[in-house]
Amino acid sequence: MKKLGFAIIAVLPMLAMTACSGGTAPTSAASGSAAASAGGAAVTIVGPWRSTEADTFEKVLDGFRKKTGITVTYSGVPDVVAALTPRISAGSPPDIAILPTGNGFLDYSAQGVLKPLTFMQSEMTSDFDQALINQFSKDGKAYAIPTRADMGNVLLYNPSVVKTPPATWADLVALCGTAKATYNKSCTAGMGKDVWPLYLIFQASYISTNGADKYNDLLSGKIPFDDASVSEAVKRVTMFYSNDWVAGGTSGAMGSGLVDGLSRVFGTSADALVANAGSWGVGLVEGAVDKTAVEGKTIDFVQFPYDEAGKGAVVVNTDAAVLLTDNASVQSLAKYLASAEGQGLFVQSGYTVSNKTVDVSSLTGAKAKTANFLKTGKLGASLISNDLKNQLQTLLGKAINDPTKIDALLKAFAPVAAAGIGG
Amino acid sequence: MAASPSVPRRKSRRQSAGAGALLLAPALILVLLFLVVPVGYTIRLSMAKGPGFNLNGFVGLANYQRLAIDPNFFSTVDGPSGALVNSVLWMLLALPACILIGLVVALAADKQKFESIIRGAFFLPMVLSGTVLGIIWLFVYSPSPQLGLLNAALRTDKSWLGDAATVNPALMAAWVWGATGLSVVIIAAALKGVSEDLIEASRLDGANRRQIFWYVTLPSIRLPLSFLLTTQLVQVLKVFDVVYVMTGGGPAGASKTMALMFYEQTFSSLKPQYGAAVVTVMSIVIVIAYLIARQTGRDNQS
Repeated sequence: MKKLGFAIIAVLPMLAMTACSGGTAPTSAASGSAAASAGGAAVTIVGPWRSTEADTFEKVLDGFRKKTGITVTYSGVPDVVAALTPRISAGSPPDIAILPTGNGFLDYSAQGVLKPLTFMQSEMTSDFDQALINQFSKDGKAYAIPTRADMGNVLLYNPSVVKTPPATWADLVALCGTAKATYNKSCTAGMGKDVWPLYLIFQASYISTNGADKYNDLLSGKIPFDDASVSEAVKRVTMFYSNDWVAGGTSGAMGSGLVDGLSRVFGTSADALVANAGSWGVGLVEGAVDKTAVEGKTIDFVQFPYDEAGKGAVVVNTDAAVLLTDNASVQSLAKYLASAEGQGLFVQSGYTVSNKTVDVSSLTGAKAKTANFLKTGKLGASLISNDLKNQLQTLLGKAINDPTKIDALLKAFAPVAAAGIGG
Repeated sequence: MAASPSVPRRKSRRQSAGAGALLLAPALILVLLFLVVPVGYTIRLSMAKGPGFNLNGFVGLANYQRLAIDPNFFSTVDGPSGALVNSVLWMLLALPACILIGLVVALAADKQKFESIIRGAFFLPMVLSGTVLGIIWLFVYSPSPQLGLLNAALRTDKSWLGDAATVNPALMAAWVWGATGLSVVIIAAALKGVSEDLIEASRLDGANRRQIFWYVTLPSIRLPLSFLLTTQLVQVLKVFDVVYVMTGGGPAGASKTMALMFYEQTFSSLKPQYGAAVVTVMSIVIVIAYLIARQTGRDNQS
């Protein structure tokens, strides 16, 4: 009896510790909002912008805070989708999430966790290109606010080396045919190690070959992935990464990341002439590769080499703000983020935006060029699900390693894409 | 009549069992909460329809059927490939390398003057996280001879991580560099326990060094070796961080392991049901490999 009593006394504290530790109650309310602030419920935002980009976004938010008195808390994370998914599943999402280039939008909208923007539909229609609205719409309702925007299909080059950049695909073929002889350099720089640049160059290749309408049709499932137009676009990607063209050979290019690839064109030991990236690549080069780069003199870009059908077509990559909760404060911030006033603050810090009513006359150099492309170009604005994108990226990697397998790979991928398009 | 000394009453079996259960309860609760429930949830998730992490719908073994024909997981086109094959390759190559190198180093350093320094030098990489280790070896393997240690030594500009033929051995070498320290330390400690009398007796019986190692030293350290084998086996089959940092599974999935495929499906492709199927199969592979290793160790001992 005494021993049993001792056992109970010994066990009880341990049981109490077990019960108290590892609590499962979320520390924040299910809406993800912090305590109410002066102007209404506080708002939390999660996004991809960190460091100087986060500073810029805080300036944008300051405009809202001053205007409304609502507390807004922003957290920048390296991987928004990886950070967001567990929080959504746990029932404690942030109020607003910024999805970089709309990454994950289709998947989250399929899950039904995004709130529609019906309360600001008319403002969206008047201030944004319809292609951008359609990109983030489902069943006629918009679900995301396009914020910062960049052009995805560009060819970066050094004007002090390449005096006349290639405009058409034929020009690029001619340039690459004489690169070694004329410049003693390889023609192209690859960045396959980071994987997502492969999807970027596929987008660039397809839209520049076929135009924005066919691009949108492809990514919305109206054109199958085993279509001849896709095969041609993939062939051009493999040419860009071929041993004859790409610095370091195919395996070197597939083992190089984004910054390594750009360094091959703009670094001190540059051994390539051109690289594919988005228009944001200019800022990346200036910040991370060559701080002495001068726009227009040692760094510039043109549209990715095109055929006549693709001239002026623009792959627009926008960072999309989505609502995961819905209250007056969140709606107020959403309207502000979509407005010319809010997006104008991005422009003041040198970023290009999606709202077509924003005055971009203050932008110069590459940013002004990007803004002009976004304003005047035919926009290719379509998304595919992350799953399909990952599979397509793997396909492109295999095609680059063995271009003879392009058609077989696309034939196997086409039904998977058809089943998966739309989320 | 003198009073007899009191005889303790025999405790009933039920009381003993009850006390035992009560003492075990906290540990059992923890095992239930942090092992049984999550495993059960994962298996159930692998049979759900989704979307998200919801357990909505029931699709039975559909995700496993998809996995069985998914070339990213296992393919025989152009030779065996896929995440399963890569993980098995890690088990067959990286694991023995880690233990063999540890054994050789421990034996060579045993009873030497600078034994502790040698052990310390090999143990040092173990304090690095997988992420840091991956970043260090990214520089080692950099294609540029100006940056990459390996290419500078070999006077070449080969892309070790961009070539499907060399990416897996390159990754394994990085992991082995980080993991060998544990082997060295455990085997070195085990060698200290080998009976000197046995070795002396063997020598007197005319045994040479190889015979002493094979028939005296090795059987004496078999238990720690077996422990090392099973723990490192689990580590190598769930390797993730080094691969994620250095290649992300590329080029074109050539270095993708099961753990990486699970991560990609769950957090990148946003298909947690499919990811749950991958991790369930991965766990089954680990358990089977562990049981085989343990049984082999027992057979050798007996």
